[in-house]
Amino acid sequence: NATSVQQPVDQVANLMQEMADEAGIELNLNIPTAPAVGTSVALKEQDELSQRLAKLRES
Amino acid sequence: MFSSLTSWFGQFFSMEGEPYKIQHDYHQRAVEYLHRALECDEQSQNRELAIPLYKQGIQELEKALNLTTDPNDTRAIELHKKMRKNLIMAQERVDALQKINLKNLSPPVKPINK
Repeated sequence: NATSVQQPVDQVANLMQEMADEAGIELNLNIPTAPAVGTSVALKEQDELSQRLAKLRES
Repeated sequence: MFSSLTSWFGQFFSMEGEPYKIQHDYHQRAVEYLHRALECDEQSQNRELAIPLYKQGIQELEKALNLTTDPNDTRAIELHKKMRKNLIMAQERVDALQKINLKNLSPPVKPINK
């Protein structure tokens, strides 16, 4: 019947979601956030270069 | 269920593509060269050495700017804009330094008294 089919699917889904969540924590740390941080650092570094170059131009 | 899970995973893998990483690598190398160039230049002692370092930094910026950026990737586009600005500024600085060097290298013109 419907419930006996539904239940294992839900369990598997939950288990997979759990695994995904576990992986998600690592993935969040390693992939999406790291380049985001890297970019804001990169943007700051470029700004700093602009400022230093501008200063030299004035001198 | 599988399709939703693959798309769930997919969002993490597709968020940061290879082109972004390459852009970032070139940025990193450009910053290293330009930092060294600026240090030499700012101290006003090693301006001859600053020129080739600026040029190497400019080359790395050019490589980064030649990459196609995803129009939906706002961060990559912002970085691209800032790198373009610095490419122009660094090039201007090289031109200015070369002029200073030429002035210093050219022999003093002595007025001829007859």
